[in-house]
Amino acid sequence: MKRIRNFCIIAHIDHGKSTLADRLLQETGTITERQMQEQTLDDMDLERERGITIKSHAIQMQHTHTDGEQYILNLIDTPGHVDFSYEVSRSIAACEGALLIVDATQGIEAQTISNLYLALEHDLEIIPVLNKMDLDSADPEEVGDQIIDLIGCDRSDIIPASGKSGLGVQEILKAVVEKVPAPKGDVDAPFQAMIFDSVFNSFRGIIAYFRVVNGTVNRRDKVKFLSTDKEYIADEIGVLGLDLIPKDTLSIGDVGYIISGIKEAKEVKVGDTLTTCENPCTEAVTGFEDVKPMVFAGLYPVDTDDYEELRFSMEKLQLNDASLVFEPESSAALGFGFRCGFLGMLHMEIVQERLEREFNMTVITTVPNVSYLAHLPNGTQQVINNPSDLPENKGLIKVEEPFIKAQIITKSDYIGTVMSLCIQKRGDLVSQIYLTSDRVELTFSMPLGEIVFDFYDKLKSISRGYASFDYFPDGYRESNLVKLDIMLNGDQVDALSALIHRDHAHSFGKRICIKLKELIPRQQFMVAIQAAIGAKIISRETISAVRKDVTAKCYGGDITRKRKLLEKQKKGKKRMRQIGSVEVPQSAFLAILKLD
Amino acid sequence: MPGIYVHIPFCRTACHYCDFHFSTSLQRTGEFVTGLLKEVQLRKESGVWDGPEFNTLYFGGGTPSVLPSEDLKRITDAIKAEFLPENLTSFKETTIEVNPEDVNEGTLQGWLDAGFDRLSIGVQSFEDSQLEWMNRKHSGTEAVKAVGLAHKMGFNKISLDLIYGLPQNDKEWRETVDKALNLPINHISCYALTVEPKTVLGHRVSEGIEKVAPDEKIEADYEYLCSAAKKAGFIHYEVSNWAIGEEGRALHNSGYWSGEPYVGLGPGAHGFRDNIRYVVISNNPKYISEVGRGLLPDSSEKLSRIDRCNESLMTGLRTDVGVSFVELERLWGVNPAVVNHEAWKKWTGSGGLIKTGCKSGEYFRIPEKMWLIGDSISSDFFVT
Repeated sequence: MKRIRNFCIIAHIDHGKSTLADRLLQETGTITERQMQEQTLDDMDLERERGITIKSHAIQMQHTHTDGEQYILNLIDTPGHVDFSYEVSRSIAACEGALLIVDATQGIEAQTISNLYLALEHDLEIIPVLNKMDLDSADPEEVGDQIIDLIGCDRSDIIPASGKSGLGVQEILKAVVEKVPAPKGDVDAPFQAMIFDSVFNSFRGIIAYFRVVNGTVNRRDKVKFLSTDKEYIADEIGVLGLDLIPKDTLSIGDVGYIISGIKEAKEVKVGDTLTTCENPCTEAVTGFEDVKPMVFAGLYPVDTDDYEELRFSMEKLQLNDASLVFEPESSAALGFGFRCGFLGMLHMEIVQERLEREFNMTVITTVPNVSYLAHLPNGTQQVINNPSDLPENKGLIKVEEPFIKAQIITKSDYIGTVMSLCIQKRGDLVSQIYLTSDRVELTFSMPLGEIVFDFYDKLKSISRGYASFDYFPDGYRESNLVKLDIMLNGDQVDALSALIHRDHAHSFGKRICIKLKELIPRQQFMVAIQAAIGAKIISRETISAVRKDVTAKCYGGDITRKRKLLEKQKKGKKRMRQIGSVEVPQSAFLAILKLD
Repeated sequence: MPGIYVHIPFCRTACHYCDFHFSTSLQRTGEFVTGLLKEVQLRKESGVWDGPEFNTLYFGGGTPSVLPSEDLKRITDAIKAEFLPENLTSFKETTIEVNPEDVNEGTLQGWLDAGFDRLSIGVQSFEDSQLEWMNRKHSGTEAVKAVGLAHKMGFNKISLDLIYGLPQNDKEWRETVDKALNLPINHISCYALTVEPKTVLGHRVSEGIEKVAPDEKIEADYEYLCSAAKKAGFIHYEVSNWAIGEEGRALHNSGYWSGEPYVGLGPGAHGFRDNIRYVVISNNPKYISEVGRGLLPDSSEKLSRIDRCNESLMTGLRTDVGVSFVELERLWGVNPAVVNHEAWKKWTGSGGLIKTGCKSGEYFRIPEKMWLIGDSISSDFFVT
């Protein structure tokens, strides 16, 4: 174990983490040029397309150091988006060191800082790396200053690198061996390991990834998870190369996997402790949390007949996405569907996209919301995950909504616009710290519900992409919320209801009516779009009727073309949902997220 | 009934709205006619068309009236020699599309000699400013004269083409309709202006130089035409077609709508038989050279049973005959009203689909006042 090094990478999206990781794999001969696909560690198509790592992965490299000794370097990859911050924290907890990769052209971002703090909390040795040094716009002086300010290292500790050219790769490997401490632990203690990730394999079931903290485990041992007390046989254990490499024994410091006939991802919880049944450890590895969903939305099949198929698809999806939770619900407008909990907005989008791609299921997503707490006259509290479940005014003492601490790092030029956005989103400034002369960290206390709507995109656009953002839950607070309902030709569309702060309700209602007018195609009759609070209509827009759509000519040469045109129209209609007599496209249900 | 369509791909000038296949270079008309005569032979020799009895012949374009009458006669003679059923001396209907500026005593006589008994005159409007806007090369007065002369020379089947939804006021449209209905004609084809991409008009609309007429204007123009034509004794028998009496209906075009086979001749022409629809290459020089080498430059598509069912439905619902869902099921094995039960409920409930008085079966049609949204109704019944 003296020659094992476990390390992770802390980086912001787009700062070149995956490319640099690929370079390390190449340099150590872990993969050949031929096996090299871009961003090897991200093996889902969706990840590669979006350029983000959704699920963390781990890989073992063999490296001959300058002292002539062979070292095992375990790289634990981490996801780079706020939605997955708990997974990041567990990956960090599995390591003794971290590469802090900063884009030399961009500087440090909020996400990086919060993950860096996590790493420092876990006493990780930080190896700073300035990436993308090959670009003309690289500014090593300025960005180097930021790093020195943050971690108090020497300028000479910072490794200039480029994932593209391969610059610095040797130095990084050298630093990992020399600076990252070897794992510590007691070989004779009961086996204790921390789960930091799991994946679903349709042939082998769940493959759980873990890091051994104490003791050893052997193939065929009987093992259990401390949080669930469920027992399994370790059918196969091993280490993670580019493929799985089976081993008979794993010991302290090893990063490995276990296959034990577990069928569903939810049985394996990230952060949980794995031990043997024969000689179990008594204490769990610290830091385990049951991850709670932050954002809720209804998912409905476009075609009501596909409800069972949707259930089947979601269950399948849940097999490898333990953070996805759902329960059946019904909507007057949409029929039967599911109320789902997501880690965040990106997670929601990913689930929707995976359903579409992997299961060919087109779904309607209702307006997302957070989890509210309703205080009832009888002294009890009710968790509200769906605005439609909120009791009428008389039945309520107060409603509380979740708040967050939002941490935003931006160029000082954009302080004004960022502030006004956050204040408009009901944020209170908590602190304002200059990281360097032109980079500021702003901390706001804000309702989570405001982030759900269209915060992140707006933040990016008003700061021309410079501002970065991270958040932490910060308890519940009472708010003056009202339920805003939307009606189409007088029929209330419960799937479009939202809880909004009373002061914002009017402008919100108006904007959503305008947006819906854009998104709902004209029908053969007039459609009235209304926003209402209780019985009071606060806004109205009208979509005029289609009065003419028939093609003028239909002779011998027109028939094929016209048939294809109508086929296309029919296809478009199939993707719409009938609400009362009005056909509503999928996109309209998320109109609330796309307000100007 | 089965028909033969001949596409004459030449025009003197391009109308701003037209996206049919044509060339404004008239130098190769001679080679084209030679090619067309060759194509007639090739089609006949292919044996594909041995079954049907062809009853109608239609010359469209382009502008067939740009060809000299002698050339037209050579073509009609060749077609008759190969395709005219033995028991007939002429087709039951032989139509030529002509432009008013080509109509004079000489050409009219030539067309009669070539065997044409029906004229389709491209009037479009009687308003000179509108004609200019469309880049038409005749005046409203010329058009009136042309119709009168044609009638005098012996054509008693005359159809006019009109366009509505032009940037004109209501009064101008009403005057155009009234003028048309007072002429000695027995048929009107009237089309809402359609903005096609790759036309001058399409370009102008996308550049924001021209605007399309609002639905309300198109609807008003259509309604005026429907009521005026009715008063003048016309039957509105297809979305865009009106005729005096049963005998006024365009036989050739009606064949398209009832799924009859048709031969297509000339560049850009479509032909149809059983489950194959083909289009002849839309390129005059290539057409001439290919046909010259004894080849038929077609590209074709194969129609599935579902395609054919959808087409029957689509064309049928554009006519006053309508469709019989039972008959569609018998022919194609699927009943669009059953598989689209929601659409059936919606449209029979709202009057978008009504039963016709036809005694020989359960026929349903779209009533005249709903024809303008006919695409919505038809596509709702499409089988996918």
